[in-house]
Amino acid sequence: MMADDEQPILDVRNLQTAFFTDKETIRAVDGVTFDIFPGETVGIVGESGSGKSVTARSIMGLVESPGRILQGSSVRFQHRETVREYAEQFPDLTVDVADLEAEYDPQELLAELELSPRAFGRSNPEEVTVADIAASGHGDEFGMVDADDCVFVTGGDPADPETVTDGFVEATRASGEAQRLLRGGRIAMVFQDPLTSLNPVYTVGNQIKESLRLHRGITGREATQEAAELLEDVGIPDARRRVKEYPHQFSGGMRQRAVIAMALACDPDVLICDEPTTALDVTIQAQILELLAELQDKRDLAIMFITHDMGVIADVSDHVNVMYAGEVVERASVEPLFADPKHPYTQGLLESIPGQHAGERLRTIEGSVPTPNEKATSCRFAPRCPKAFDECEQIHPVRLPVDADTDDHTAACLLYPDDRTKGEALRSHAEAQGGDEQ
Amino acid sequence: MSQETVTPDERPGRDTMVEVRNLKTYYEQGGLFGGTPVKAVDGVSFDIERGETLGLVGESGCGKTTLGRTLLQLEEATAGEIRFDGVDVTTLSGEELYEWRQNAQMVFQDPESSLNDRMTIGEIIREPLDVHDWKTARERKQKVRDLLDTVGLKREHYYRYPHQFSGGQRQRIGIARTLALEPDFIVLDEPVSALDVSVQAEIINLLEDLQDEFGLTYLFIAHDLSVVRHICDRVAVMYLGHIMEIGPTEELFSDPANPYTQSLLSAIPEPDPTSTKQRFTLRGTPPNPRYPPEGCPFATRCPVRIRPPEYEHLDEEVWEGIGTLREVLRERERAERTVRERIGELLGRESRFKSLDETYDELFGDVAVPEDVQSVLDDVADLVENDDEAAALALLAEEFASVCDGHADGSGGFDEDDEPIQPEYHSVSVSGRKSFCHRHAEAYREPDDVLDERHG
Repeated sequence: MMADDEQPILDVRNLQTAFFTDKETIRAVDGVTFDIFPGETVGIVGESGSGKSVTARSIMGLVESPGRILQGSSVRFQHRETVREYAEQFPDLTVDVADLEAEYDPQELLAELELSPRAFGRSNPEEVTVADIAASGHGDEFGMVDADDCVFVTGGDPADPETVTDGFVEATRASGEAQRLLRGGRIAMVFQDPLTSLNPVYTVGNQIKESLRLHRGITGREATQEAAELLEDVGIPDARRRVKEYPHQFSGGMRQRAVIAMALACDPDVLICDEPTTALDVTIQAQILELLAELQDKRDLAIMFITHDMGVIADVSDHVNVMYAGEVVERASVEPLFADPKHPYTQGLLESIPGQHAGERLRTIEGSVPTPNEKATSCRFAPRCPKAFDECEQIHPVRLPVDADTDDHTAACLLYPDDRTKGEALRSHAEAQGGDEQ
Repeated sequence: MSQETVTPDERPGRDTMVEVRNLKTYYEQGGLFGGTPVKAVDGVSFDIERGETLGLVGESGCGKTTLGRTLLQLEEATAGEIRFDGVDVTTLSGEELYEWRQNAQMVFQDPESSLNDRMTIGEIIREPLDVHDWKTARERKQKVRDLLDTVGLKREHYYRYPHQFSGGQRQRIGIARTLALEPDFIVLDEPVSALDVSVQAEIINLLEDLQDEFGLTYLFIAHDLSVVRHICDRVAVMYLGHIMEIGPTEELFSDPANPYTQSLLSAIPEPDPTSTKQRFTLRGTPPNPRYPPEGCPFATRCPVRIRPPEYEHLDEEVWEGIGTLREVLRERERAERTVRERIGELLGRESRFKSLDETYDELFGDVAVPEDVQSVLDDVADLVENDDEAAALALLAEEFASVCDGHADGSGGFDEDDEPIQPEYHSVSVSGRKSFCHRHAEAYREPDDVLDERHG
């Protein structure tokens, strides 16, 4: 497996997923931007209702009606081999970005759309590219691309896949065969409850073999052999016997191992783990976390790890995204996040873990997570925030670097950047937000 | 049963409220011949002091919930005594039991399923008062309003329904119902496990406030050890129906004595990425409580199991392989074979139960196995080939077992008729903390020592 280490393998920009019911619209994921590099683990942490799982399902293309990924969202899978493969297999769905660049000027388009560069995950208008606009769904308005175009080649000639050096597959636009190859094949997912991802009436081996047949065309004796080897890889002893057993004959930890084996059957590059150890005991959790780290090492897997357990996050993550009411409110490498959390919500979350202040009452965060129904016009955490001031009700904070020294630690809070005056900080939030409405 | 030299939890001069002695709760299998019972609680003894919080921790299936339910007589004890203020409640029945139950209540884990969705909050909290015919209807209503105040809800919530409340608020409702009859003793069964961390903190604060205000005594069952460390005065660690270690919380957490406690604590990820805590991962899963190991319950997974002296020199990896092999054979022995497999076996076709080649390859492929061990492994493979897993297991046991597996030391083979040896409770600190492990005895090295050597 070839890895392009210099760029993220998964690039999520301004992801918005909403659920439309007669009663209300729930903006479960509201403008989430982050990326994952090969071999890296990105943790996503937040309370129930913060939008963690919907983010994962959106990336996997598993959002079902009445939910929908909104225009402007982009989830890019950036892997050279895959782009080559797709360009070869789906020439009709492939876009040569060089052609678009010759025809369109991104700054003009941006002005016409009246959008802030942040809608494309960029901080300056000059950084927005034609590919950004075309991939995020806005390109359809200008007739730049067809509705089902999902392979964007930014380096090389798509007509000759061998020459392709750069590009991405846009997961939010992929459908049919293109989506099926991506989902499960390139990006796989492990869910919280292993019993819901295993079919009780098929043997574990059969379920792994199904995945092998669909994604790698392996069948028969060879598939059985491969399935047993996969079970061995995830640390299930006596795999040759186990492969013929049913899920109910496995213990909880073994089931989760089997589910991981299924996810790995197609040799994915990105593994999304949605609370994979929440239903397990700590000693079994330790085994599964150890296994995931081992597999990541061996296969250079990029892992997105969702959990509400701060201990697990500290253990597994390289980078952490803290989510609140559909937004990422803070992002940092794991050490600074725990040593010096910046967003008042992150601070509150860490303070409420028992064991921080021996013998004292536990700190709490008053109130509960709101359900985001409308585009945010203020800080969603303000009503519960101990540090809130008047402007928090008027300006929606965007995620900015917490001070001038870092790009890597960002927080969506009007208190930051904290090396500028309050007025300047407020202005940068207001400006960045400008034109973000749609 | 073992002859305990130390009573597991005896601390003279305290105001003891609950005394549990050699308590057993077995779930019998239905059917004509009874079958093998599940030994959910298998001989535990401890005291609970008035006004304290005793934590009960352990992995799922270790019997902690069964123990909590048995204390409240929601399950029938198979043997042993539970004395509340001197009265053995296992002997109560009818009117006496009904009267006593007002005094001992329970808060359940899942606030979603423990509240009846068709009753208003007022009705739910009032129900225990109605059942026990407490005073007049008007007084009951007033009492419920007071209880809503007490747990931090509003009086106007009286006429609302459970679905209108969040998880944290529902748990408050459950707590209010528990308090209705003014009990002295409450079993809290994972009361905050289903809640988010910030909500969890609120409920824990509430429970602490209530304890101070009403002088309550808690048995706090949980698997989240950070919560236990915060709220409990003392902790009992359970494994497979036994209490492995019991003692004051801080001491037990900072300097665990029992190998199981050490393993459990080391498995908890700390919310601190710079933590340098030594981590050793337990292999395998807890054994089936229907077929517990004969000696120490933790022997099959113990990182510091006592080894027979003649094999003391063996590589860590070889021991690991032998451990896994025993587990594989135990599982095979109990696995059900389908009709097709039975026919296949009868016809002499290869069966998935017959060969050990691949397993050996997986377990011992990369390690140097000494000759004496290899010859045992070969004999084991032959026995498995002939479908005799039981004999294979017995052979492995004879060769590699020690006092931890219930076999007398140095006796070589073992006698079927001998009662398996169980560990004893040893006092491991001045505060009277007790640990259930052979390694505390004079003849062996302490768990800490061995742990550093084998996994350091």
